[in-house]
Amino acid sequence: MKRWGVLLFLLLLPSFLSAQARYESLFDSMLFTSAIPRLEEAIHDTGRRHAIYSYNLANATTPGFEPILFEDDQRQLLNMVPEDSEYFAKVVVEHMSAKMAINRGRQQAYYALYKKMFDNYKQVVTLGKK
Amino acid sequence: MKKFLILILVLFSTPILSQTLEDAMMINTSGVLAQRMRMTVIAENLANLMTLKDEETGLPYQKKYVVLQAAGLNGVQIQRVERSTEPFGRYFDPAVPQADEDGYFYLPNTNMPNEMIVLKHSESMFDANINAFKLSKAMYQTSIELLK
Repeated sequence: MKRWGVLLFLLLLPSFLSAQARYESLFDSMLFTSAIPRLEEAIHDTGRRHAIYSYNLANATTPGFEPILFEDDQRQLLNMVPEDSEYFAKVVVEHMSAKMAINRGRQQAYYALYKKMFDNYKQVVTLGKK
Repeated sequence: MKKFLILILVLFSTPILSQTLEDAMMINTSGVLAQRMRMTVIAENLANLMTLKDEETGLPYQKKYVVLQAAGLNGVQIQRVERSTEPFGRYFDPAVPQADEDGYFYLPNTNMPNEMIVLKHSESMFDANINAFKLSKAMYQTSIELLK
């Protein structure tokens, strides 16, 4: 009887070990992904963008002020007006307001994801207990 | 080496820009204050629409306007308030006490419709900056909510 027990243990040991390794890699992939630093960077980026859009908006009535436009903003403007038009040389308040609203939406989405990631962590760490 | 030089050039050629939501709030505040100052000056111009003699200059009231300047991290700043050098309105009425020896008197160079348009524009810009501030506050609030 004892022999059978030892044999069974020896037979099941590799699958136990491989399962453990699989869970470890699963935990690692859930806990140490690049998603969190990327989300943090994205959140910082939305803050930076918001500050720059605010800067453009605050200087909308400053004579000779040229707005600071990101690549995607420039592309968006280019779809509507030619590059040499005055829209590139002055602040278009509606454009800036719209971009700020989009930026706000993005920030909310990033924060929601960030929160979700932490909920996932909590679930992993507590082994699924609520 | 070339890349390093380009980086140095970019760093020194562009103004130091704001990075955080706190900076954004400061910039929004500066925008609101600048527009408020503009509105105050316009109100002064409108109030002095018929002032035939300015105590400071001895001339009819000269229209004032605010000169704004981009100020990097501080957003926008009021550089100075200048007086307009546009010609005064010249009217003939020898009965007016302020009339000169030829019978002409001069009215301030303030144009009411123009002032009203600038006032409306300032009001819109004031609202835009206030809304931007509200957005900054909401974004800040979202980040604080992570602590809950």
